[in-house]
Amino acid sequence: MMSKPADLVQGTLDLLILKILALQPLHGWAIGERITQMSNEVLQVGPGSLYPALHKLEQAGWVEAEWSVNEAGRRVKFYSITPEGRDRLQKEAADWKRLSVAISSIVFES
Amino acid sequence: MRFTRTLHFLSNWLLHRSKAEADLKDELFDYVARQTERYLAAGLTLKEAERAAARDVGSLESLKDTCRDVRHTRWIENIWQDLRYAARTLRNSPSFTLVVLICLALAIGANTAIFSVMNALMIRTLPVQQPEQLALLGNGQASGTNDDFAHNEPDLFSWPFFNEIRKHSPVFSDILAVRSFGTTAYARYSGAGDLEQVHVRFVSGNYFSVLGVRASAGRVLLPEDDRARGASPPVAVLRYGYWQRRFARDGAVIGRTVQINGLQVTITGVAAPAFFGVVVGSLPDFWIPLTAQAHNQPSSDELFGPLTQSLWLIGRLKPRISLAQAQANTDVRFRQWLHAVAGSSPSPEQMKKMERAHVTLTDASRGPSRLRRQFSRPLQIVMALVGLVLLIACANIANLLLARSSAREKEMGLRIALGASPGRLLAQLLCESLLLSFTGGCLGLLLSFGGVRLLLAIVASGGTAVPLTVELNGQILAFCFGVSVLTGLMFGVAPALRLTRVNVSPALKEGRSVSGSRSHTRLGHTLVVVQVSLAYLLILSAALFVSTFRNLEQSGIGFDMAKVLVLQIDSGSIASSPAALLNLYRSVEARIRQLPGVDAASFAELTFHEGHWRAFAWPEGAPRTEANGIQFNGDHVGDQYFQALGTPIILGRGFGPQDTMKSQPVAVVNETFARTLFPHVSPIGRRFSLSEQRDDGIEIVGIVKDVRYESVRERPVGAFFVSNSQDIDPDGYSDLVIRTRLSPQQFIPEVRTALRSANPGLVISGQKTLTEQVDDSLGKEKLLADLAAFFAIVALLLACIGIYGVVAYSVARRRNEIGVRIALGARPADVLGGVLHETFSLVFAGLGLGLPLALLFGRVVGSQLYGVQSNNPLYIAVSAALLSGTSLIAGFIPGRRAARLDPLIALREE
Repeated sequence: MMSKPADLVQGTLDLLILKILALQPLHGWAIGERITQMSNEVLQVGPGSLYPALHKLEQAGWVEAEWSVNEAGRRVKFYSITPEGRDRLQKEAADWKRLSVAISSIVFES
Repeated sequence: MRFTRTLHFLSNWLLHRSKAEADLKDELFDYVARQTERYLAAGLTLKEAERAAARDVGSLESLKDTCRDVRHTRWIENIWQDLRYAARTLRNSPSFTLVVLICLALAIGANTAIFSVMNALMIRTLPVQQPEQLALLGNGQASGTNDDFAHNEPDLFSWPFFNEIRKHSPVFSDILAVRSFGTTAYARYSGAGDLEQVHVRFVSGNYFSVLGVRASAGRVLLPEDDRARGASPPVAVLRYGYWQRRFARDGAVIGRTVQINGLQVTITGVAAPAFFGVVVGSLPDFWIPLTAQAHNQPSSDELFGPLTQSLWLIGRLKPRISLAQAQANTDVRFRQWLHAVAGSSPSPEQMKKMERAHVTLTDASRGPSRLRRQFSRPLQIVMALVGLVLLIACANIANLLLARSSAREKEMGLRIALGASPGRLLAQLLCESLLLSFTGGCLGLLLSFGGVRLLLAIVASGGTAVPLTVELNGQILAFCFGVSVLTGLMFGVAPALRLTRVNVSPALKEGRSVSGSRSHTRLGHTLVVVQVSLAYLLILSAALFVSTFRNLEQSGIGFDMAKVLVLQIDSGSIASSPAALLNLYRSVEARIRQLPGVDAASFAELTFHEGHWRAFAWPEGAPRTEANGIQFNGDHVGDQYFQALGTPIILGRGFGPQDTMKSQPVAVVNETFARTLFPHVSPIGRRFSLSEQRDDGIEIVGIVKDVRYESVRERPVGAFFVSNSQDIDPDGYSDLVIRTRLSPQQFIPEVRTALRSANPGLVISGQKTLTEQVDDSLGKEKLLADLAAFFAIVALLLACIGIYGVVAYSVARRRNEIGVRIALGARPADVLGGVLHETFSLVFAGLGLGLPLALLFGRVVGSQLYGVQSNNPLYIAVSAALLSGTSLIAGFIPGRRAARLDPLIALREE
């Protein structure tokens, strides 16, 4: 494990989920996979953080869920982003940018 | 926003709880399945893959909990679990649950019943639009008719004043008038044969519009119905409850005519369902415009005269006008009106009276009520008493829970050892208590309906039911719910706290845990001491109230009450003139006297507790001014009145055939009258006048003993009696008083037959023995005595159960010790003595705590007592003895069991 979710800055997981769902609707497992894949395997999110975060976002109204049945006959819950979620994503992305620029400017000061 | 979303989730959860749970399960299952597939693809065996996936997920249940947490549904889930667990636990011990539920249902039911009556009488506002805007002129203390020139703060007003004050009022948007007393009348519907007794309230035409009460059928009264005296055709509006009872809500009743005491009225409508009028404790069947009376009483000038004051006036304040502003304005206008009535040259006496006359305004949002004045205090006392019973019941249940808790120590110890948090356990135990108290509360609410009926029946003993509508409303529900929750917390918290502090290791060990039980015993003892002290308070107060009632009942009213029958007779509609009425009375009296077993029979205008006729009297020769006159009670009676009641004639004679319209006007007076009006001289042959204008020259022919006329508690009142033969009250309402040697109740059918044969039109509107009439006047004393005695018995029983429980538990806990002592040679008497000693130390501690409480309570209710002091040493001692004696039995049963203990069996158990 390279990085546990606990090491993620508070709230970043929400940002990551929203960003990934903004690209396409996905189910929980695939969201976790996509995070690992897009971060070049730097970030890994286990179900213990992923699902509570998804449910929190759902309750906040930033994502919504739809059930479907896959070829194996299992019920699968697909999450997609809502318009409010997109607004939230923009705001959080901007915040993150400011924060990371600020931190970088201190840490990598030459 | 956050709150509404939570609410949304909560309702969602409630509706789709199982679906949400299934979704959560499926979603996580999907994850596990995909993870397993990935490990399979990576080349692991199925078993290894499954194990690896499960490791990734960790504890599935705790993950679910975290998800529920996020959704704010975890606490609901917890409560739900707790409730189901509590219900299961309670189902497993049905006898415990049953006992607790019965205790709770009785205690909460009694509290709710008394609160319901208090609510209807003292708290509830009138079912009209914006009742807080209503203001009553005066304070509604007086009812009846008054013809004095106002000289103080009047409660009653006349028709002309009502019409005057309504005009262009700057403070009231309008004012309504209602006759201060209801009328019991006899109605005959067109097409129906029989006379029916009904209650009529005469009101002004704007009555319903001022109150903002609509009709539920037809139309309500309108100002046009009350325009001018006798000018509008007489109409009537029915009360909804009467319409429902008498006509089963048949709309066809509208437009029907009905003859009420000879007045032909047309029914125009039915009032709104909840509306019972403005007077709490009076339920009219009909509302009829005041002016309608002019139709059948041609000489009605008197009814509408400026000094015929019989109306209560209720105004609706204009917006932003305070009661004080309205009062100032009304007072000025009242005095202006008095000046106008007195004319251009008022007498000095009238001037003096006008200076003293003021109108006060009182809040009328709850309506005027004589019943409220009479019963507020007794109801508050009873409320306090049942509150104490509830406390005793709580202590009992707490003790039961404590006893049960020792059996559950092991369970709790195990759960704590397995990691349950004390808070969670506490919540679960409280959930159990609240489930109990809430179920008890629901049962209690059901019981309270019966309780209310019982309460009203006690107050109405012997007579007609108390006309008070008591309906379930939000306030009563809230009270019942609040009491239930409070009760649950009261009896639940202490045992629950104790259980969650269980020491894990000793609790899990085999055998009896001694440390826990000792603190349990201490708590249990404290609870029993509190119970005993409260029960003592209840018993002592019951003794005081019962003896008050007995004292009043036995002090009586000054004459022999047994075997006297009083029939209320209405003959107004059949005798058209005073002479005809007198003939009717005489023929009825003669017929009744002929019946076997009758000693005497006589009509009388008023008998005990029926109100009064107060009149000024002046001795002959004295100037007849109001300052000079003295007010006395008067009565119009028949010849044998004093024999019928058994009032001894001390001096002179009673009335006889020699007293006629043409002979000298005579009167019989009582001792106080004679002493007051003619001190130091023999009153026989003296004359007095009842009229300010002319000298009546009424001669005193007899003196009778003082008796009580209106209330058992009254001080001696001066009274005079005039003969029906010389001065008859023409309205035809009268009492027929019969003294019989037979049982009065068995005698009634014969009397009715005799009355029918005298005149079939005579209406008997009521029949009572004099004893019943006296009992009726003691309604509030009877209420206090009955309820205090009942709840004292309940409290005594509960306290004894409490003592029994604690002592029995302590005996059971000390079985080994007692066994050893018996084995070592202790006699059974010693063992029994030891147990009784424990019992008595509890009882005496309780008495010691209870006595000061009871004395304090006695002082608070002192004004309600009669002929007994609240610190009466006899009652203090007898109540204490009663309580100790009964608890002796409660202690004796476990004591005897202990004394008979077989040491071999007891010791083998260890």
